[in-house]
Amino acid sequence: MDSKRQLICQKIDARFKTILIANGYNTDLGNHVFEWRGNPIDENELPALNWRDVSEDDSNASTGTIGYHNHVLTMEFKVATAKGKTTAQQIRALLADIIKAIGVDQTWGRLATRTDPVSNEMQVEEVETIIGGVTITLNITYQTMKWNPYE
Amino acid sequence: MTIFDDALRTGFNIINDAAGSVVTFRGVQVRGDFGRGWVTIGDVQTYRTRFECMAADVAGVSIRDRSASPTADDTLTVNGVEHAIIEIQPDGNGSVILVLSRD
Repeated sequence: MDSKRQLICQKIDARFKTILIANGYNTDLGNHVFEWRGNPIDENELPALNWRDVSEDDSNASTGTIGYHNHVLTMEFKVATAKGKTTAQQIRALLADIIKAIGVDQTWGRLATRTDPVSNEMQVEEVETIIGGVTITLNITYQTMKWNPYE
Repeated sequence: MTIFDDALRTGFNIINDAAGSVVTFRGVQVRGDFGRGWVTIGDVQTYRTRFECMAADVAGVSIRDRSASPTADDTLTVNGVEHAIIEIQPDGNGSVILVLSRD
């Protein structure tokens, strides 16, 4: 049996894999979506998205509705691309695709109450080629029964 | 955390024969050490390239001008591939390292 957090992560991974030009998005980011990838991404795999469920704030668990725990799951999405002199424009297009994908259903199949943007930070660096990316942070709020991660 | 603050690991190899590398600068052949090393930027593994030579051989070299009307735009041609110069690092003792980009 999968926990609610695991189910949300599965939904996120599946949703971002639909980011394809054929589905009406700006980019084919969905071809290279990774969960907690530890080894470096090769330039041939760009654009790529590496996502992590980095932390969860459960501090208001005891003050939530009686019989429930409230959770705020912080997700980090790192997107990278290399598109020469148009790298910055490409990053903005990727960012727009991600926002659009979240907007398809911010409850992730009614597993969560809502999804809120926290921040995004964009950077471009030139080495042998121009590499750029954006780190996006989101909070996903969901609820479980007290001491029951599954429901 | 940003995507670039964990650029920790680098490696570098000088790519030469015993006599060094020959590149073309302003139509003139210049001898020096051409190197290419990997660098991890955020989650991406890529490369950093450089050319080290006598400063006098590339006197007046300028980095790429990204303005709308560039007035200076030196390049180095290495093995038939044109590279922009994105950084100039003189050592103060007559040598200089030119950091290169293919983009």
